[in-house]
Amino acid sequence: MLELDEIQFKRGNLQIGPLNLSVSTGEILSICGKNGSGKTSTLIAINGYIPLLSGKITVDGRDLKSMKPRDIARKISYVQQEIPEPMGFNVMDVMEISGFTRPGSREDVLEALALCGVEKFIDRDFVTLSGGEKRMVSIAAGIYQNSEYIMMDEPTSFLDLDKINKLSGILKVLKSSGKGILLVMHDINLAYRISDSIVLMKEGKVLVGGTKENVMNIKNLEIVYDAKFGQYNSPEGTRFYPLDIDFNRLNGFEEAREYLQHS
Amino acid sequence: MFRSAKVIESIERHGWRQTFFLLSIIAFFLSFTTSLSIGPVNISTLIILKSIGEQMGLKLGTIRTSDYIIITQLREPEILGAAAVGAALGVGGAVIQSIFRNPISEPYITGVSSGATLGAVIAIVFGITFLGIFTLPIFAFMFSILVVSTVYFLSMRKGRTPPVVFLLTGIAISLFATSFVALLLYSKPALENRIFYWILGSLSGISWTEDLLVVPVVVITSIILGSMYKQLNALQMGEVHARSVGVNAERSKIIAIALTTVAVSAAVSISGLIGFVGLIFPHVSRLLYGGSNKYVIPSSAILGATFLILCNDIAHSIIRSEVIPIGIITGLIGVPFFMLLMMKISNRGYYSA
Repeated sequence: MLELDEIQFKRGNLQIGPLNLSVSTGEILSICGKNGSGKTSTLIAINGYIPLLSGKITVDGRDLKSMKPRDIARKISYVQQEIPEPMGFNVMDVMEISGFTRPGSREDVLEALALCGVEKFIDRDFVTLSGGEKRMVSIAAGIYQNSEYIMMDEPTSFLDLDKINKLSGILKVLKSSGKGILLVMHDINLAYRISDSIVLMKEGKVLVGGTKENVMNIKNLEIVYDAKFGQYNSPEGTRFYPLDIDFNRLNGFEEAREYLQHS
Repeated sequence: MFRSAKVIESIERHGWRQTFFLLSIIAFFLSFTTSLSIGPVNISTLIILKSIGEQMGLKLGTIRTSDYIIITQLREPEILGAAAVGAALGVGGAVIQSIFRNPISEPYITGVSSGATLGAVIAIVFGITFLGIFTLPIFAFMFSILVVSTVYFLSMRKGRTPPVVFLLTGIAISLFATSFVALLLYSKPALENRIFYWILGSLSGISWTEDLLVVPVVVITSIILGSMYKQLNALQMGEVHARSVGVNAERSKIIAIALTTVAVSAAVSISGLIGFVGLIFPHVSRLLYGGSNKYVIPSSAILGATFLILCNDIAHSIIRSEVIPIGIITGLIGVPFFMLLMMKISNRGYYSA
């Protein structure tokens, strides 16, 4: 189990915590919340780049502080939201970097790439791929690391609709193979469909966390996002949607600016 | 079918890399031996081969003692020095560019060059000679290490050195050291000439003693840095990423910077400032082999070494019985060569994205 126990830390001016959350193997946990609520910072704190002010992070009962970077990497991998622009690396090079703690063959690399549908790019220069292709390669690299837990920050960003569906499939494969998955998600409906548990963060704190059925309701969403929400029940399940203003009802520049100032 | 085609393609690709690397090693040895014939006294290739044989304990016929001394005591140490300096700058450039994830950085950016210049100028201006003929290189070396250490500690933030802070601190401290150099120069205008030559860089007069001190340092640090290619590749993806794949980012960074600083400081201490090599050969290597430091580091070493040997030849050949400072040649020859290469193959990959 990957466990955050009363952790507190600071990033810029944002005081984050105390946070408690835990992910088990075979479980998908999603963190949702507004921009700047501390979701990404939490992942970076687990990565160890932001030092904790108090509390501890443990994996299978062991404090990450007492573990070597290599051993942590065998337990947790991290697919960042930002995609780096390395000088001249091809996709194989990018994948091999994630194999730092697990030397594997070209076939192993191809297998991880194939799961994400990007195996044909193995010899392409990474920076020449499209945003969505780069994202898929980063996810494949995180999978190739073969850790027990995998964190993904906004895995849907840069992905087209078809690839978002593919991502659901990939996450299902990972979950079924016993990985613990920690996601930061903007798409609340996707989070609702695929997660076991959801944590809603606001201003550096956990507003509410638990099973998705207990957490996801209009009341909680309205508090977290400071917006009006609606919901409808489709045959595929419940969908939540923000009740935005009617674009066509706002009459010209002045009225639109008036609206922005009061929202 | 599909898979076997892939395998063949992969072998072909790797084979191509190996062939190219082998060619560059051959070019290195060719330039090394042919350069022995260049200088005020004409010596034939046959005599050169004979002398090399004799050094290795083989009797291949008679050689004039004067030729033998010119080859083994004057030309060999200088060419070996050129190779060591070129290799140190090439490797240093590849490492620094990876760590700072910045294609326009080079080994001097950490303060190596300004520190070395300050040390050399202090030794010259104050007439310090208590370490004999090694006073100047030792002062250059020590001040170079001192300045880079200062930069490192000044850019420390909560036990970490963010690349941007390090780069800016490096530039600022370099400027600070350079201002001291300017002040010292201003106070003793009579010494300007000597200092000017040091700043332009020169390989002439490098002796075996200097080689014995510098070459092992360059070889050992280059081998260690080359073996750290996985860590350096990971750092090129950013420190958070490096950590997440299991690299001890800060430790790898400090080891790599320390080794680079020692090697480049040692090189600069015997050669003065030679620009261009540290910036360009990592890029040439990336254009040839792709971005992985597995290839970029060894290739930058070989190409940097070969390039400086050839520039040294040119420095000797332009005006008879006079040696032009090599720093002038590296720029004059290197830049057009690099521009040509960029035009030829920059239409693909990273360089076109």
